[in-house]
Amino acid sequence: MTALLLLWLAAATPAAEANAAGPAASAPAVAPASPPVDPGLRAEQAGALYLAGDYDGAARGWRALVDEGWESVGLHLDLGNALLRLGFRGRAIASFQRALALDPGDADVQANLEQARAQNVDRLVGEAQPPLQARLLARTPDRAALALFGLAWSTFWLLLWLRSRSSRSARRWLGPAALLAALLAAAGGALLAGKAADRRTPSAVLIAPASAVREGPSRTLKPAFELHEGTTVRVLEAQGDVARVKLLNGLEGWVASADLEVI
Amino acid sequence: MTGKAWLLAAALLLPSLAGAAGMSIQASVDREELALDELVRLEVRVEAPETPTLSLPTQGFEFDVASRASSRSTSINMGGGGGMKVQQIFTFHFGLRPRRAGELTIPPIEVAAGEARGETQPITVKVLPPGSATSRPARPGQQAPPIFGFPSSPGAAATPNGGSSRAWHGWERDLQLAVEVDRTEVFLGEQVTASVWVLSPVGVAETGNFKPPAYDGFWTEQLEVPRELTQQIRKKDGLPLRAYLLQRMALFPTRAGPLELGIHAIDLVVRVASDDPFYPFGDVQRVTRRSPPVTLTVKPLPATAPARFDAVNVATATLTASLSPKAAAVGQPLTLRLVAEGEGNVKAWSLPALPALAGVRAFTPSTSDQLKPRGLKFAGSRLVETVLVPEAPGPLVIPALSWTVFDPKAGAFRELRTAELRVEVAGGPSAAPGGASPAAQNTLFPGLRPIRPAGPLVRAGTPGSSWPLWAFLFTPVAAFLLLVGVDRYRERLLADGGARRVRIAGRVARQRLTSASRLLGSPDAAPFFAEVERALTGYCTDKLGRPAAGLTRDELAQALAEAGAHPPALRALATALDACDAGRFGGVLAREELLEMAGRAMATLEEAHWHAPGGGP
Repeated sequence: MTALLLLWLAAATPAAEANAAGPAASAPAVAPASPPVDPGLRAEQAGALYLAGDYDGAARGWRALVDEGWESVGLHLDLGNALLRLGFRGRAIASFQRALALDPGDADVQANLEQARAQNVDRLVGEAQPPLQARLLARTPDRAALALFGLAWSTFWLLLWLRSRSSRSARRWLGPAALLAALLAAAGGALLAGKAADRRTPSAVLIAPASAVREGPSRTLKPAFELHEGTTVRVLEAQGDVARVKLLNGLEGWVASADLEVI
Repeated sequence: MTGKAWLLAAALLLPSLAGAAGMSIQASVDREELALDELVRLEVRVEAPETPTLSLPTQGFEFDVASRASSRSTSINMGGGGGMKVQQIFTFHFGLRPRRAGELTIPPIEVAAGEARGETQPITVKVLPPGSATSRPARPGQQAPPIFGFPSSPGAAATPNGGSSRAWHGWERDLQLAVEVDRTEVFLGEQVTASVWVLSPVGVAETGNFKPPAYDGFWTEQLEVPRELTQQIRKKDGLPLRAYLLQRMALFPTRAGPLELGIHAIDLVVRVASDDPFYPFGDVQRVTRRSPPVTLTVKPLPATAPARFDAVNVATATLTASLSPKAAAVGQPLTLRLVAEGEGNVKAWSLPALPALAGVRAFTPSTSDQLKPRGLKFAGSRLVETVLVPEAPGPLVIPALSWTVFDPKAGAFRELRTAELRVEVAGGPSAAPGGASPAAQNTLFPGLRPIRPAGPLVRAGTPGSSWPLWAFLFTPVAAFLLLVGVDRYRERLLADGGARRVRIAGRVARQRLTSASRLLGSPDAAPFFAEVERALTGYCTDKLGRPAAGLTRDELAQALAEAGAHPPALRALATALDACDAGRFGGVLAREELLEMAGRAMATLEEAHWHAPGGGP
């Protein structure tokens, strides 16, 4: 379990770098003006713009908050809505997916994501259902995995301590209880490690209307096929201004990094 | 055939004598005179117990081998008093093309079958200049083609070489792989239909290893590839032949000038008549055939091409455009469909692009093809769909689109035009306060779930860099270690209690004696004696690690001796305790004297080497 955690800790930094180095082109651009200090107030102001029909202004406001490092399910949902209204379907899908990463069970986000994806041009042939582990990872929020691990881990050590100073009769049930807590902690650690591994190959969404997929990083290669806005891929590696991506049905190829928004 | 030829054939059919023990070799040709551009068929029959191998001569062999085939038949002869006799006859056929005119000789051909060796007799043929009229060999093809390899009439069974065989071997000459094109002169980009046929006077049982050429210089589309061989009867040079279609292609030349369709090749399995009267089912033979190359002349398109003409647009087609729905509102998508339909290389057509329209957002068009060949012509339709989103109310006008094509049927360029399309765009939602942009007013995704308050915003960060993880990871471990450490410390303190009490027992006892000295002046003597006794027994309790009050004097003395007290100390203690008892119960001993006696006993006891309770030092 400790090894899993170390893996997770080691993976956290590259994942952050991948996010930072990814094609995080912002549309619309970040507002350069000095914003109000309170991010909650700024989010409310952006919401007012949205309700007034100024989707562009609202998207700029929310996007600035996201770029500054703030996040919440509502913030990503609102930004996705504004981007969708503006016609940036790929970027909207990316925003909805960020919201789902925080709360996979949010019905509003799921519904809006489904609407956005309904207009996807690409229909993947031979798309395999993800394995149970991948589905479990996708449906478990980061904080839930962290809480599971933390509670089980703390309980395990508490029970160990109680067992060391308890009577022989109490030790009979304290031992199995500590073992159960250790198993739960291992499960939580595995979830965290899986999420760390996912961050090594982050998901991304095509944001260009169409993007040629080649069999190698060179742009001189003849395109093998074409992907269109809204298709979700997994980024395996990046070289210069191109990235190697993998589709959900296993197809791989190289696309321009500028055509992707990493989630 | 002349009488001279019959004599020649009869002589050639004599079995070869050279070293052919157990093996019989016969060689024959189907003609003794031919033109330079014709073939002579050489047949070598070998009767041998094992499969023979033939070696064509390399020296003095002035022919090119145009085709070769082989077959084997087995006959069982019964009678004649010799019992049953099994014979295997191997027949080799060669199509030979002479290299020069004149008298040419086919040198002896070596035949080997196991240990047996032999060779054919040399055969001489006369080769005339190309195009010369020669005496053609008798052809059973003048009759209807034989069915399943058998001649259709007994009269047709006679072979041209007059041998004893009843089978006809001229089928090799007439079995061909032919490529037919519907025209040999076309415009650049105009379709040529090429059909590949197997023409055969005998039945074809199987085909395989079909190798078409690369069709260099052509864009190819398949028109027809039969799943199984279907026989047709066609006449060629008056000779009825079986015809099997292998494939039919639409070829579109991509460059002007002479272009050649390369050589096609195929392996065939045919059924031919048997030579053996005792085996009436015919032979199966494998042969390979190659098609002769076909040359086409590709004319360039006329030089009067309009400026907007794209060379891929060679078609006999129509162009239409439609827009749906017929009414729309701002932000509501419309679909423009541009359809080109007709004959030509549909997949290569380049349809006109929609010009930029003010107040309209156009998405990337999508293209789809529907292919519907018309007979031997490649045809179909190409559909280009463009989604348009009007961004402003008012009339939306799609201008007439023009598409210039070259019509090969007419041999001229044509300009196809669509009608102008018009749709009225209703106004969208009212302008938002604050001057919202037109794009913000679109009504895309009307069923979108609404926004919500952003809620408590938190800093996004990677879990590895956030303190909760580290707290969750290390706090329980640290707390566990701390608690266990405290427990251990307390246990240690408890464990150290006995020794400490032994160590400080004298000090405690002296403090009690000091307390007792304060009671010297008290009118009641009992508290004084009780305090002195408590000092002494308390000292013993601390030194022994167990209560000393319940012990007899002897038990106390023994326990103290075991704990390290020496006899003088024990005696001094016993004296002091006895004096104390005496004082408490009315004795005459002065208080000061008892106090001094107790002090001496304490001092003497302190000199002992005490062991810690429980056996420790």
